[in-house]
Amino acid sequence: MNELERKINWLKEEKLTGISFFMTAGYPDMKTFSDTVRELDRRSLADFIEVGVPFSDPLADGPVIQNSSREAIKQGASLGNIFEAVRKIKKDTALPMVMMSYLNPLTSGAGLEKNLKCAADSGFSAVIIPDLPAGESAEIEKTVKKPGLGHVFLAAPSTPDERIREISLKSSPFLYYVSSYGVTGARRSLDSKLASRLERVRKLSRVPVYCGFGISTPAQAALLKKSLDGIIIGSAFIDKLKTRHFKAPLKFAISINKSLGRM
Amino acid sequence: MKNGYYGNYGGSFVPETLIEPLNELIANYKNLKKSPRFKAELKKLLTDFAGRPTPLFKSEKLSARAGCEVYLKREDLAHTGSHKINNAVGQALVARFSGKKKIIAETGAGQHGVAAASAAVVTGLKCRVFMGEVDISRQQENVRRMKLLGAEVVPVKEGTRTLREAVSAAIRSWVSDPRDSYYLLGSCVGPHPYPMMVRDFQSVIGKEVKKQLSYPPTHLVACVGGGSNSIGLFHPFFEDRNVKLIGVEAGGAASINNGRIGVLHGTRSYLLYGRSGQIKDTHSVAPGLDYCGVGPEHSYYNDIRRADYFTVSDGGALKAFRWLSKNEGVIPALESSHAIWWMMNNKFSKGDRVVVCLSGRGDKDLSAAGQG
Ligand SMILES: Cc1ncc(COP(=O)(O)O)c(C=O)c1O
Repeated sequence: MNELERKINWLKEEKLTGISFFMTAGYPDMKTFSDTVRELDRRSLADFIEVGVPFSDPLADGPVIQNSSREAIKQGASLGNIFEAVRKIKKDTALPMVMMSYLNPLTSGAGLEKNLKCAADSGFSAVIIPDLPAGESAEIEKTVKKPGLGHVFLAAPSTPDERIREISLKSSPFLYYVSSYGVTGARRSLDSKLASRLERVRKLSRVPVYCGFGISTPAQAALLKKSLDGIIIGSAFIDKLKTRHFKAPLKFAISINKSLGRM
Repeated sequence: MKNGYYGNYGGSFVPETLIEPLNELIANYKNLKKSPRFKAELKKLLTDFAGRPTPLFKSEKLSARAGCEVYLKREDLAHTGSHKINNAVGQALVARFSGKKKIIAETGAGQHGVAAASAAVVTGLKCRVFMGEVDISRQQENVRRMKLLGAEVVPVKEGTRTLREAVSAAIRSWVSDPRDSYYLLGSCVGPHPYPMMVRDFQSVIGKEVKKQLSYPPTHLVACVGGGSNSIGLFHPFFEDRNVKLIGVEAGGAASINNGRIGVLHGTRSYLLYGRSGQIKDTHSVAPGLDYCGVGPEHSYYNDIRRADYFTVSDGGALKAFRWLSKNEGVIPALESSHAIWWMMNNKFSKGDRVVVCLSGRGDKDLSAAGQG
């Protein structure tokens, strides 16, 4: 069992709502990115971090993550220096890390197998590949498992019940439920049926259910608390990093922790 | 071969939200393909609306120059001025038969946008076209045509502001509303079943050529952007190994010639990207060829050596553009001009019968070619 799995299980046992932030690696720059992760860890404001490998053509992402990705690429972010930064962070933090990468950056350079091995060696616990739906490639799924990485799959509002069950059997250590139709990014309001849908997904899923895409305010988080195992916030958090300092994102993280009864 | 794959290429590398809509599309399309009502309506639209069959024109000047028979498949004479209409009416009908209300499309040259917009009108659907800002400024006429046809043209401001970003924007819009909207993809790229469906609808090109020639051709030549006019010409001749298939890419956007295997826009195929996996910017004077990827079936044809792929530069295409206009009285699209230039610069034997796909007309390209 890796440290992410232990963390997810522990949260479940303690009946705590898990909290994760998604950050584009190297945005606004590699130092601010690393500093922010360290601060989140130091103040226990997150249970794990989702680290996005920037890609030039992120199909599942809205404007905020498109921009942060473009910015990070412009500054030279690549798998190599992302692994390097995470390796350093992992030396003095206990925060589990999940890598989110589209297929093309993940398979290029040294190739998929070596890249995944480097990811595991540098301290990542699991990967999320948004353009690899469950079942599309048995070969890639096998390659992810080789270095002992977890593989988190997504399920969406369009996913039929039977498929949700199947996806959850592959997904480890949690299932990522996409809140609504559409790409990542803040939504003024979440679908009124989201809570009840989440409860159904939780019944279908063999693993804890974490929800993301569009959750952007403490009030929205509080509303969903009873219906999910954990929440993932991306764009709203990244937006606060525009200031190029960890102060604003930390303040936001505190408000989320409060709204979920975590502090 | 696994469904939706051509050798190692193809697949459905899309966000989970699109899996169910794609499965529905696969099922609907499978049924419609056999439906007499669908087939009859498609045939009627292709003849009465799109103006098919298009002529096969023997070019005396090209024949004299090459020392063999050279034919032009006149897709420029199809309604809206290019082969794009074949796929647009086919898919618009699929959308209507599937109960969809809105069409989403991307466009580079604006040719697919115009085709989709008019297909939407005739099938009674709303249409929204995503188009890069760079393409909007170099293809103004087509933007005006789309608007006149009642389509909403959404300018795409991200990245290269060309076809690649327009495809991304269209897919993102589709992810937001897959229940009511239908994504009418304009080339044989994207996730399964699009490469297959677009190829099926474009195969009318090759099937007509088969009927129009009394002897089989020796060479089929077509330009390759995403690869739809070429696959439409090639596919009906796939089994006929004596027919040489030649695809011509733009020098500045040559995915098969200069790319490596990668994944973009839902499919695994040859793709232009850098060491860290970031997609490369492309350039072609022909906006319809200005794309970093290519249909998976072409990657497969390349690997099994069923087809050969070459490149032609902007300069060559422009020369062919002028040459054909002056010598045959036909203004070819800059896209098609790539295929013509390749043909004009290769040796053929006396008994050869070469068919070049004139995928579209060049009226849209006058200012790009410096003739405006
Ligand atoms: C006239 C014409 N020819 C060719 C193309 C290239 O597309 P494809 O390779 O799919 O035929 C386009 C695309 O816009 C076009 O407008």
